[in-house]
Amino acid sequence: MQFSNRFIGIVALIGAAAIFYGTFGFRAVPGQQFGSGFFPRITAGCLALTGCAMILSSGPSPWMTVPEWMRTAQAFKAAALPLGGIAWVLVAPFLGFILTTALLILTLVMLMRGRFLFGLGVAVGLSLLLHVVFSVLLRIPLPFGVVEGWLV
Amino acid sequence: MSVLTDALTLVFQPDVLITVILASLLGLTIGAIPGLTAVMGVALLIPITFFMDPVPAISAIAALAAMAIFAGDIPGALLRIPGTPASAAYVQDAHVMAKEGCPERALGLSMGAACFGGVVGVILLMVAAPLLARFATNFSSVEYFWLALLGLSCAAIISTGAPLKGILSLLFGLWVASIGIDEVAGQPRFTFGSTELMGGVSFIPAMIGMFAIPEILRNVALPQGKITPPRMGPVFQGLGANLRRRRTNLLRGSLAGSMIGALPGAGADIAAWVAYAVAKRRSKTPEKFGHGHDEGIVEAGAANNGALSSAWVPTLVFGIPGDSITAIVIGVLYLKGLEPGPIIFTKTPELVYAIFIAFFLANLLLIPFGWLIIRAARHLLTMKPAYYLPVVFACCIVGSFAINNTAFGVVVMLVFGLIGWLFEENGIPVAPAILGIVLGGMLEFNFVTSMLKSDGNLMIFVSRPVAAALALTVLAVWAWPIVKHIRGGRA
Repeated sequence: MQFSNRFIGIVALIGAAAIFYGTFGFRAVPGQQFGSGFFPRITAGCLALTGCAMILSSGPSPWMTVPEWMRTAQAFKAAALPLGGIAWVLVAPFLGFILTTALLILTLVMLMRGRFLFGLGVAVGLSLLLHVVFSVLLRIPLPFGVVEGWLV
Repeated sequence: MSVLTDALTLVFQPDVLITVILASLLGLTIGAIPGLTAVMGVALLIPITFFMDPVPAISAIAALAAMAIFAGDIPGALLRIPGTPASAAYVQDAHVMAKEGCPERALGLSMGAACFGGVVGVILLMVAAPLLARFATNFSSVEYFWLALLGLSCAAIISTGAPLKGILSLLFGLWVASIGIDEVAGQPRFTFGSTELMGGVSFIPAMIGMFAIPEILRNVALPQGKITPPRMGPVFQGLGANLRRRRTNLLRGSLAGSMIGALPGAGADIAAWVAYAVAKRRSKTPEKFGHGHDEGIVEAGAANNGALSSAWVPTLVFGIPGDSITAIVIGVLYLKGLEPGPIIFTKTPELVYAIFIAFFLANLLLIPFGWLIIRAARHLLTMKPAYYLPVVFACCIVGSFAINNTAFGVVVMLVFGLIGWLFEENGIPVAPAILGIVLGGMLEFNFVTSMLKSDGNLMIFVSRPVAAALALTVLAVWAWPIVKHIRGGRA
């Protein structure tokens, strides 16, 4: 998804205004000349200047161009990735790391037209490997669930 | 001498050597798979190095990066898909050579050049870093401010095709760096009431997201067709003679790459392109470039790995990253409680020398491991993205989770992944944003400290000779695109 320089410049200007506005909420430190808002305001100023320069340098182009692949089934496959990540965050506390990760990998493999049995092998094998590396060896408290309960 | 002995003892431990070997194999695999880059490999390795001691952690990063950068030449030569941006400079020559039935010659030359360039880069690192560190011990907050600004300016203005977009990316990174509790005043900034954001945006999930997710999305969105790599002959046949014939290119590329790499914010990509251009200009047969000629492969290949090693000079001496990989390294050093800067050379010299030795080792390992990966390349290149992309994505998730043991890291990774993808779709470079996140705190701290010291008098920033020289360099970097624009207009 490509935006014109004009659009990016306007977003930069809005961002700069938001940062500048945000700095007004920072309390002043008594006896200190340069408080918490000092540097973010400079960043906001530079961002505003860059935004203006982008608007001025912009040629006649559409505000937004949607690439061809976004109008095909590839768009759903690409969207499945962040959606899968969000689903992992929501589901993992209930199903546990191994089952959620295996399900996520298998779903993505199937969406990308991989073979089911091989995908299942990859999904289960990698989930168990990651569990061993991170949970057993590195002692990371990965989300605990049904499969982890069987393994303990 | 005892420092060197201590460093050797630190590196030649079974756990360090095994880590280096495993990281090398991982780097070779990642670099050889089209679409997966060295930076992404390093980003994925960080969650594991997080739990290691400093020496194996840094050695693993050095080994993975060196191997992945070389292995990036494999899909470049065999499929005309550069595995890393740095390989793109000579991909045409290597591919034509492979198509003419000599893929082993192209890859052998590139392997030999990478090893030689890497070793020269390490030598420069070993010589220059301690000397510069001695000089830098007198630096105050003013010099550090200018150095940070110089690194950021180089990354945003010189390293990118579109300076305005580079600056935009950098300013985004600087804003992200200001999220969390302000170091000077203890004030929470831009946290939107979230306790998770009080400590700032976690650097590693943000970096995994910005580097890895766009690559996975791009591979999902635009899948490659069926790949049929050519057959490979003996790699070492005639390699020594070929390298000797091109010794001038080898030496010039290694030195140029090492010097360019040592500039803050420059890195291997620029080094490879500059070396290729120099090779063409100095060649007696410039018309052969792009048609399977070996001069460009040798010179740019050597520059590639030379820059990779020497990029650690500003990283270790000033805490200013030379490229995206060393930006990640700085984050790791801070996580390990080791503040990069001249003090590290006096406080823990054995650690610095251990890093040098690890780099040396990684570059020497390039020959046996490089040979192995060239032999195995046919199988790696035919791997289906449908299987390895979900695996890489799962690694991103678990890596982001592991940093703070919370799913918030995964959310940060996803958000920054989408931002990174939008950036890349619109030609906005990602590296300046990452450098902004890494160096933002240092830039602000040194700027505010200097302003407080001088009671708001801006003259403090040019009051010392080194500071004034650095200020002039920064101004030159800023003026560069304007001069280029004016020259372009006249031409």
